[in-house]
Amino acid sequence: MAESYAWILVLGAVLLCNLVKTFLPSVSSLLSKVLQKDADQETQMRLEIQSMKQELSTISMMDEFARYARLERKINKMTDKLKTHVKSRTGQLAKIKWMVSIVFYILQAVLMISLIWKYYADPVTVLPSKWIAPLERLVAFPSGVAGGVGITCWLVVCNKVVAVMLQAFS
Amino acid sequence: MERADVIMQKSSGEKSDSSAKSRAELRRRKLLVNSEDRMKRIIGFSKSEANVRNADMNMASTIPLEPVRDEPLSLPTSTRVPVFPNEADPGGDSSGELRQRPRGEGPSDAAPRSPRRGLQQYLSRFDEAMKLRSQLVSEEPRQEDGSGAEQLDAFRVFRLAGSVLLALAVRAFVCKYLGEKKMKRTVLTAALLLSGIPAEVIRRSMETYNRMGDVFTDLSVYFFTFILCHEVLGLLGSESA
Repeated sequence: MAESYAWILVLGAVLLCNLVKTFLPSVSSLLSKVLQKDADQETQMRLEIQSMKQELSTISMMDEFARYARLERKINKMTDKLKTHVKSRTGQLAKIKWMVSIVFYILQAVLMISLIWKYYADPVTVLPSKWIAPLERLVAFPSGVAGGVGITCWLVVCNKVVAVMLQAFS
Repeated sequence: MERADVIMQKSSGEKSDSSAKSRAELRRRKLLVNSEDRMKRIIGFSKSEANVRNADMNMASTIPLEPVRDEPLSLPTSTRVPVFPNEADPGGDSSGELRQRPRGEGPSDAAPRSPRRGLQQYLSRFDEAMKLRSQLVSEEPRQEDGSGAEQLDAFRVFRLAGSVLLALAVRAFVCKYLGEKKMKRTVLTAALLLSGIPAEVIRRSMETYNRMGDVFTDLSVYFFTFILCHEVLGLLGSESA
């Protein structure tokens, strides 16, 4: 009636989903680093601005006002360019994160639906029915087997327990 | 004369007692003999009864909103099996909705069913199966040994003590590792306050919600640990055997 290791399979699937969910931000940033190839340009601009600021600090405004003003204008222009660049990069990063989240949730939904489809009529495990009275009907739903643990109840329990464990150990 | 009347009454009483006992015995034997047939009738059904029921169902034009029980709950004669369309009828519709149909019904004969009626039938079928099982268990001759009863009591005490310890351990774990909760409901609280709900009501509602969440967490962890221990012990037992 119940497959021997169905409960392990469901537990493993839930654990995998929750682990991937915790690592989603890392995956998003990794993807953004791969897809956005102009990160070097940004670091170069920052280094350039830093060196110009150092040069500016060595120039006296009273003695070399023109040179000072020219350098300051250059710094401001480079800073504006850097801000525009950072803005577009963060926008792209947010889009990538959003796409990764959507793909993950779709895959998770497909996995859960397939598990429910597979174990709709069979319980994931069977216990003596008196052990779980008076909740045996609720626990057995939708398999209808007396003493059985239905897929929906086991999924909810596994989700809650895995979330608690990850919260406790994170 | 009076004594003769008393004696006659006693003998008639004894006769009625013995006849009642014999009738009870006959009923008991009849139940034992027909138990299998009754089980089959509850779990399975005959084709002719299914066709009659389908004809009655098709004649009904509207599905009532309230659950209506036309027949007593004892011995439903047909069963409804929740079936996905792709599994049941390869050539059927691809709507992807869950349908319930009698076992003998073909794909083309399936009529749309209210989900509430399906749930009612599921519950009634479950009830009947449990009743029959308890009836069969009570009718079997019980073999009571002195040693068996003692072991059962010891096992029950052990099980009870183990359950209590497990529940305490779960509560201690949750309190120790999940004691600090971040309050992330400031926006919701502000919205509720702006809606005119008193702060005391909001506070009590939040506390009640938190308590319910704690209870659900405890129950889930306890149930999970229980099933995990049961499966592990079962595996160890099968390996040692």
